[in-house]
Amino acid sequence: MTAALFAGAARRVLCARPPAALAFALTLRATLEELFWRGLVLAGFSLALGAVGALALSSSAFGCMHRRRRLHLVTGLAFGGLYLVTGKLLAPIVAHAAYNVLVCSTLPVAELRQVRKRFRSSVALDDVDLEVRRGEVLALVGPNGAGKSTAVSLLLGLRRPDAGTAKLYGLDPVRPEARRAVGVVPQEIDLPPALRVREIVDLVRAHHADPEPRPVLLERFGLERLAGRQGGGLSLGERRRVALALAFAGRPELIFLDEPSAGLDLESRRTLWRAVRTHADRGGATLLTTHHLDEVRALADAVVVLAGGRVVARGTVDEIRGSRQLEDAYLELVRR
Amino acid sequence: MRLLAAEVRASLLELLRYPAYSIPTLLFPATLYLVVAGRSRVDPAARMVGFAAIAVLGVAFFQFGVGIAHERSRPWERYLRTLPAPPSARVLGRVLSALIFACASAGAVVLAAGAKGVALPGSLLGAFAGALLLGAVPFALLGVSIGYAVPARAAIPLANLLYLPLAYLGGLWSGPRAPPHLPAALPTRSWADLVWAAAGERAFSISALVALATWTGVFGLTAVWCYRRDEGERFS
Repeated sequence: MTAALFAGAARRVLCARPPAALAFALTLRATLEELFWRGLVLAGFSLALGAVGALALSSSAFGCMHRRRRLHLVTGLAFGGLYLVTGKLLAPIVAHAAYNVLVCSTLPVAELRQVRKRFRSSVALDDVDLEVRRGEVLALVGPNGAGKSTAVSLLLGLRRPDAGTAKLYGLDPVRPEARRAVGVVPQEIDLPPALRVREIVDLVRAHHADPEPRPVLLERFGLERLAGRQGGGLSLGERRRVALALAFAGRPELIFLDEPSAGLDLESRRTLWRAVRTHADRGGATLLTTHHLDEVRALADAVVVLAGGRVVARGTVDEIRGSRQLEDAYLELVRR
Repeated sequence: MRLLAAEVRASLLELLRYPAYSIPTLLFPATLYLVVAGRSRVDPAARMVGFAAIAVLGVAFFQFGVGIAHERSRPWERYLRTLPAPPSARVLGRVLSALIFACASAGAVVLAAGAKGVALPGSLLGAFAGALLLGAVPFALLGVSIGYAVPARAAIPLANLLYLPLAYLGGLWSGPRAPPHLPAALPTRSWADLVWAAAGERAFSISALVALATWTGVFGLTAVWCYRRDEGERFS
């Protein structure tokens, strides 16, 4: 029981890692589980109970030790059957590892399920479902007060939903381990006024297990000249560039960009777009809230339109737009 | 460990680069000692340890009270909560940097006293440091309560309103022979009794220890209540 609890917790924790580490961890876990359930339990009871009896026993126990029992009963039967048919333990190990990697890589990295959130008498979010998947740039658009920033706050564990669930990598976002592979550019950017940019970067890097080297970050976001300047002396655009660098400090898999281009000049905006595209090309996921529809057109794979705290449309840019201009479609949706 | 070192470093750098905070915090108690007690021949060692306690009290009120009130209103604090570290890492960083500031500020008082020929025997230094640390806990908790209870603009006057009056009324200014005729139940009075005893100027009093422990409990509960109320408002 303890082993199962530990394994369950370890899997959920490891799901927050980037794909390569995740794949390795899931393979290792599949190997250990197969060695125990098929190599030890199934093979061990086969002599006493016969192959079918041992398969039933080991699969039932395998199912009981996991949260989703029926699913694990079925997978236990499949992996056990594979072992009995092939007679080799390697077969269920490979199948189990492939299954784990496949399932984990198709699960949403961030999700809201039937979420409601009120602030006193005003409804910020009402029955909202939202999913961000690996390699996807999801744009969350809507007028002021539509609930975009509230949705981001819930996904980052800064707020709690009144109803429904918010999850990051399958975990409660309040737990720090859920945010291990996450980078954030907040809407309101305020850097410690007395710290120099390089010191701020180092402080944020220290929160991550495998941070990007400081020179790489500074160079990538054109911050070399600002490295010795104090946070309090930077312009809004410079602060946003620093915030963008901070978001990438921990080599994130998922980045939250909450209206990131507000106040940015053209060059900084291009740097931002380039960073998002590169991130997506590497398989990273992005949740972007913005008022700039040209940004949506340029970056987003999927769009969710919020109005009055409800999702009023979702789809690709082309699906949202239909035969109209994106701006016209957007205005029509939010004015309904 | 790496995170803690980075938190402490950042916290110290920020404080040191605010001369309006760092200079008064580090030098005010020593200066006050020289002005108020430096020439006194009555209870020299007890008055020195009393002013060292005032130094620690200042750090507890201003670094925790004013510091927390100021920081919790900043979006940066909110941003730090999105990073993959529990809030306890930041709290521990703040405690350690406060400890360093408190040591420096109390050390300045000891140095100022040394310049006047007043010093504690080496055998009492451990007990003195222990008594200072013991008293720092309830006042740090009181500072935390202030920090979470009121906004930054109110925290500064409130901390000032409590800092010197509490120090004076507790007898930390005047020494054991002429303490103010005020309730002995004041937390600073219990602390003063303990630091005087640690300096060998008064017999150790178990009732002072019990009173200080009670104050620690009261301020601890207040701090938890204020923290939870603030968390509920900002992060629920």
